[in-house]
Amino acid sequence: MQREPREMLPLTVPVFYALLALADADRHGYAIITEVEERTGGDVRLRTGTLYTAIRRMLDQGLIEETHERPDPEVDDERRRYYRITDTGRAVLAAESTRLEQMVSLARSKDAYAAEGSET
Amino acid sequence: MIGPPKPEEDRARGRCDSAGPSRGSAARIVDPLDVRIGAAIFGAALRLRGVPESRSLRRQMRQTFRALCLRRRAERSAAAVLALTLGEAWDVVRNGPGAPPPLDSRPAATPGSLRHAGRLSTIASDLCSAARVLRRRPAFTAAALATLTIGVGAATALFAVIDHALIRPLPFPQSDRIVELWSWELGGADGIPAIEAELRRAWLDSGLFDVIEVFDGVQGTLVTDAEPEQISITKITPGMLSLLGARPILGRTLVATDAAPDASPVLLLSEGLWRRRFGADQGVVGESIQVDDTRYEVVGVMSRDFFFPDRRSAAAWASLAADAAGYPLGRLAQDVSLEAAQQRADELAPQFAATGLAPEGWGIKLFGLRDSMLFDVGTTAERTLWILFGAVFLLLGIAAVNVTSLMFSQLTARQRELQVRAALGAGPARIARQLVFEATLLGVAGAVSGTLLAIAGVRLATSAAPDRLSFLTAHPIAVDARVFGFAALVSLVATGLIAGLPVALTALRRRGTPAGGHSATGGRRQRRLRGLLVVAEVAIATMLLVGAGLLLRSMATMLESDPGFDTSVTVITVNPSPQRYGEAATQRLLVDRLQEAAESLPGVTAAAVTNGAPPNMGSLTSANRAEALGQPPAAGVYRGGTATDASQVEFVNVINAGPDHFRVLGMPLLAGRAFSRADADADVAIISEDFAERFWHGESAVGGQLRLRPSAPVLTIVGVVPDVLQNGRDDQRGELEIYYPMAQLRPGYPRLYLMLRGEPERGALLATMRERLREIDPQLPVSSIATIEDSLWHDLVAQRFNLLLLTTFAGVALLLATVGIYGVLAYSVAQRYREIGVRVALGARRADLLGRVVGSGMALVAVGLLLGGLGAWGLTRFMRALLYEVEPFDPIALAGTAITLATVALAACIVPAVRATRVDPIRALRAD
Repeated sequence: MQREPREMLPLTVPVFYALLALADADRHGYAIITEVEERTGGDVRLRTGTLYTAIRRMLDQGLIEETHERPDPEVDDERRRYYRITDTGRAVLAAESTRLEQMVSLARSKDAYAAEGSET
Repeated sequence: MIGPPKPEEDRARGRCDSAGPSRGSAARIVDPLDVRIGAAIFGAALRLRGVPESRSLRRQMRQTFRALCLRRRAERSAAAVLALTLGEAWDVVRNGPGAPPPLDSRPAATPGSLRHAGRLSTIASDLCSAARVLRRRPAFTAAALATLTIGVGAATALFAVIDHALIRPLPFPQSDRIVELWSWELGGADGIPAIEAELRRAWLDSGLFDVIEVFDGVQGTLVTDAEPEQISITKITPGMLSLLGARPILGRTLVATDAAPDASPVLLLSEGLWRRRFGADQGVVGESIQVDDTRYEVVGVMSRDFFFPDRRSAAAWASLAADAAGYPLGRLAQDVSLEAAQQRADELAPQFAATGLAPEGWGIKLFGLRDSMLFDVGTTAERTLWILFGAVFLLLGIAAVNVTSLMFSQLTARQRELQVRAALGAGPARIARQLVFEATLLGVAGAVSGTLLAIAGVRLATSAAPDRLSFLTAHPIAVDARVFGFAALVSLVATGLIAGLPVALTALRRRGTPAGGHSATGGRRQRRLRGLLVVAEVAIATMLLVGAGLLLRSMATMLESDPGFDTSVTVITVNPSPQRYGEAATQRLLVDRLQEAAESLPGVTAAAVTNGAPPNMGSLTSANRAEALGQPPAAGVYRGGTATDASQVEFVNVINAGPDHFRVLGMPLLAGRAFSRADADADVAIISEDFAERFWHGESAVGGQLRLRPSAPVLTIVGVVPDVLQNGRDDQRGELEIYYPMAQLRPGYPRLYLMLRGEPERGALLATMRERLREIDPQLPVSSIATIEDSLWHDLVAQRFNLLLLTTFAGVALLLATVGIYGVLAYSVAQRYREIGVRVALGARRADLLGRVVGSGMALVAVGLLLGGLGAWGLTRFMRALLYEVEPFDPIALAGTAITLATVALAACIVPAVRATRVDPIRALRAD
């Protein structure tokens, strides 16, 4: 039973970041955590329990899938399981990004933006 | 596409690789200990959660966690790994894949996530489900936790203080062996805290002591470019600092050569003075500073954590020659107890006297350092602490009763849940265990939050604590593992034993009740039990309120009492240097010039210079051997009475007064005359009313003769003045006063008071006075200016502190008891909803119902008041020492308590009672 992407919104914070991390590459759990941490300059640190709750939910909802492909046996641990974003996942991610963008532009139009943004 | 592997990943991977393909086990062998411990905790959290059903997912989680640990370890430390572990484990318990989804995301529920409840079978899982039960009832949990926090927090804070003041060793090495040595009349009452150098050496040679060192406190004027400042200097013999195990934080300590007769003077600064006057400049070591007329070289700085047992907060330490006079401190030899040493000293004393070393009939008396310090802060300090400790335990008792009451009401609400559990096969022990676990978990949480509250409380209390209790705060009160242990103990006893166990037992007994069935009245047995809880709460609250009421009455009496003099007099304190005014002639000149200066101040109508302006009453001397010539001995321990310890020494205040002293203070002469200038060198004295009464037994003392000790000169009494009541005093023996002519002031007296009558302008006064003083002596510091009234209020600080604490406890107890009474009655009304409905249907009038509910509540309150009154009668007698002209069984305090409690309880009863009258019979009967 496939739902409309918009019906799945809003995404929880861990789900959103995990999808973002998977948007450009297949990754295993630890790689998702480090990617999110790096991209956000350390502001967002996913906990293992939280991440795997999100992973399970995303698997159940068909946003991601497991992949058993191992990109390179030389540089990787054979036991690691990789996750790949599905087309549905991309659609949901895009829908969520659009939703967020709309909210931000609304905020901007009301001049409610942070001072550092408006000064420049 | 995967980014370039990170170094720590490489390492983790490398280790696995090197261990071969044998999965899992390899990692366990090579991982550092902290990562392994972390993995174990994380694994336990996963198991506790019972998650996830897919083994693969579980393995993925473990791997991810391990990689995080290794990275954290490489970046930071093993401690960081532990912190990470705790965070991760808690996250698994809260948010892990097996956890029920958070409320806000139900629609996105994960199928099967609730499947694991039945699988939990370990004790950990019981704890986990207990946590869930508590989380599911936030109102109950919050109420119980708040109650517990208050009770446990108060008890823990006080425990920390008592532990610090009475139990924990003082912060000196082998502090239990450090003693104060007094010269003491053998079998007598009198002693002085000094021993001559030669005799000290003889005692040291006796083998009773490892070491005897001496200190002496002096005042000095620190002269710098800025305002001259009066500072306290403690002079110490070279070995003193090592006896106390103290080292400077900067520079060097004092050494033997510093005390040599020809050595140049050196000074150790306190950290406080160093920061305040020298801007914490490290270069101060080696600098030369001037105190009075002496230049000292600064050799070091002592940490502010170092506190010297003389309880004066010395600003600096200077050297004292090993054979100087002073107060001796010694360390008992190894394996010699205080009692044994005292006994041996009493045996040796006659020998020393026989060789002419000691005066005939004199020996030494040893005081343990802690006893001596406690005595110093007041004979009631220790008792006060224990009374307050008792009070917080009463408070804790109310908290425990409240938690019990809360748990009982929860139990009834959960009856069906427990019956379903039982029906599903949970044995009675299992259900009881579950309930005890819930209580225990609450207890642990209460211990943590209580300790936090205690930390805050101790901080607040030490900042508010009176100066007189400064030794309590001279070194920081530790809230450490030991204190937390206490918190955990009381919290667990309160929740597990007092609350959890009876509730669990009740739950066991109730198993027979058929599921779903319930009685209309809530069960007689249970009602009786709830009644008991209300009675207990009211009784405990009564005791606390009576205690607080007594202190309030004492305070009111003290404030109302006539001190015997005019409190609006303004007092300026000046501190002449003992060195500069060590000669009688120069001191007399100073007093005269001060008198002139004071009289010429604008707005001043009369002035007097003295060394004893109330509440600071001159110098103290022992009066145990005073006698009025030709009169029978005085009552009490005066003359002939024996004191077995220092607390029985009777003191008399010796005050030097000028001709206008009593006029300025507004004290009438009851008999005789005031001093005149002609008395300057005469052996005359003026005594207080009480003094005259005790020694002249109602006869006129004027013209009588007195001497304070057999060797002292005989004084002729020329006048009698009223007693000066010193409100700040916590002992009611009432010290006596004796006044000598001002001209006879001991030379080098370090503190003089200028008492001013009239309406001087406070603001301008200080500046004008400073100007005048500079003309008299530019090195003369003024330390304070205040009216006597202000000083008295300040002096009451210890009482105010006790009052504040006890009224706070009583107020909180009242609040908790009120909430408890309300809870029990409201619950009872809710339970009897159907019964009330039936009554209304049968024609019961609302007023009757109201009366019935209020009556049933107030009957319990009355029983509680009665029991509490009895308890108060038994307990408040221990408070006698803290009371000022109020009897422990004070009808006003008791009546006040009864009225307050009854009023508040009535309010607590009325709300549920009104609710009962609004019961709609139709709905009540239709329910179920």
